[in-house]
Amino acid sequence: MKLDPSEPLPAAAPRPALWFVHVASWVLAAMAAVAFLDVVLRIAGRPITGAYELTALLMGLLVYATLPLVTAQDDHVRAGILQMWRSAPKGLERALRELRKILSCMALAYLAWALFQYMLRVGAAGDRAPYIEVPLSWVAGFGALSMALSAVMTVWSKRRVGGAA
Amino acid sequence: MSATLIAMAVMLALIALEVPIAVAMLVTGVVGCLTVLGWSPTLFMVGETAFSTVNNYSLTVVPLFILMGNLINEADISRELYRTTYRFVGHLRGGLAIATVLACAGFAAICGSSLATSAAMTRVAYPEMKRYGYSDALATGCIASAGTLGIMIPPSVALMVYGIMTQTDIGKLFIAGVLPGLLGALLYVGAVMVYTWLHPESGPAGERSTWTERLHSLRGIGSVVLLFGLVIGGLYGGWFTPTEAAGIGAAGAFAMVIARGRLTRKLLAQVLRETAVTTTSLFFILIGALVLSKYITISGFTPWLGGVFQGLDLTAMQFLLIICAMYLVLGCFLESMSMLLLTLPIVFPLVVSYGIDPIWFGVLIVTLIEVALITPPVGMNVYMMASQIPSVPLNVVFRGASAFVAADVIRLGILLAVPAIALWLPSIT
Repeated sequence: MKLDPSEPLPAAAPRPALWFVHVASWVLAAMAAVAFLDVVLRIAGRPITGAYELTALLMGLLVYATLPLVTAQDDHVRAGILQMWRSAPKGLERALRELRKILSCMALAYLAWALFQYMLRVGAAGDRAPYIEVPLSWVAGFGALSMALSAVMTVWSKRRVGGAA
Repeated sequence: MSATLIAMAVMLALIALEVPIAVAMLVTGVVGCLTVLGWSPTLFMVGETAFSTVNNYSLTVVPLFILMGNLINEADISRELYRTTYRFVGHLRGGLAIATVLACAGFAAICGSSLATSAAMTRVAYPEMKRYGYSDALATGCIASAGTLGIMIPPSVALMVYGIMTQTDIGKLFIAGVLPGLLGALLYVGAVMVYTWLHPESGPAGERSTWTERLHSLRGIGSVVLLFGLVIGGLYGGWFTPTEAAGIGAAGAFAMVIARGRLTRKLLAQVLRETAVTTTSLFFILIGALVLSKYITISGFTPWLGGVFQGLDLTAMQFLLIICAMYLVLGCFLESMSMLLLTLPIVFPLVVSYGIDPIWFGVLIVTLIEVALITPPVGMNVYMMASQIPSVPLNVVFRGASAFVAADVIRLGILLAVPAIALWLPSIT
């Protein structure tokens, strides 16, 4: 099958993004289990200590770990107004696609940098979740790593298209 | 103020160029904050927002209710709901479409997503309606429209997001959605009756069931009633926080999947992954919306806009009518959740300044989103239908949905005229 180099490749996602989302799936299952068990154990008079914090931190990991896959598969929500760019000349369509990639890459890289700085700040302050005592800098660091990976994913998509051509 | 207006115009241009909505909001918010605050405070603010938004207990309700909806979708509950409602109303003219509306309302009570509700019901109801000779317009329009009840009848992802953005009590919002959701279902039933009265050939009557068959069919929906009662009753009764209710709901839905023998490793992995992807897409937009919201706050845009509206000397109702008209237009172009997240930072402070009840406004805005889901050219439910039934042209689905859009407009008018429909239940908690 001949591939049109101007069209992005469908579906297939790079391995790092798939590893991350595999982790995210387990994290989500753990989150649901904690929320459910906390209620059940509370009725039994033995609530899980720090269940609220744990649920919140697990959600952080879930979102951060899934973002690279969402980016790699281009699952971000767009307006799709009138689908008017579908019928644009090829050159314009390609230019718009590059613009979207560049802006997405810049936004994600900025978020990665901001989270990295935030990690350094909370790390220096020694901030931890009060009950479960997980250092918040770990979660922020994971967030920075995942945002950076997501930024790379926008470029990865471009390179794969080039490679296919 | 001109700088902020230019920033908003640039953001809308980026959205029109199909830049991801989260990215458009982030870029606008960050650049705006950089111009007002400078480099370091902006970097800190963005880092703090990107961290605290996704590590926030009150927001953990979102992935858990999405998980519950996705599990329910796989449990094949829709078939039993449809079978039950069909037993009761299938013999009427347009009875299968009425049964679809009622089954959608039932499904919405345990699933917070319109798309999931429509998708689940398409598999079940469309083949039956075709078997009885229903027109494509009525069959598809009815399913696409009744699916929108998913985001009004609790649990509702849209009401959750609204509650998070506006810091309105999610439990009260959920309860507030019950009566407007039921009103919506009734009006949709009315729309089917009017449609089939005007076009009798489009929705012939099905077979009449005996009362024994009807009562027997009720057994199939016991689990739905139980789960809804547990989740919403627990929330309403103050036994659970919204997150705990969602956790219980997800566990209940998981149990239903197991009880129906549908659990496989592949299915579980797929449901978890879909939930993670949906949640992350939503949270990425939320981060963008919050960064944009901070820019709007520090730039003084909201007080300025408030001053503009005060200069117009509008009453609260006139203001609401303008806002409703704006959302009806925006809904034609923007995906529903993005529309909510994009506009709330600007609109909600104005709503508060006019003394409008946030719960009432939440219900109104979700009604408007329901309309957006079935109006051209970006009616997401209609696109979902078209993707599931490629043989039916898009314009046929939109044509069928038009009767239900009229019902939605009537509902909007009723909700505007009688706020108590939304506010009565929350007021007695």
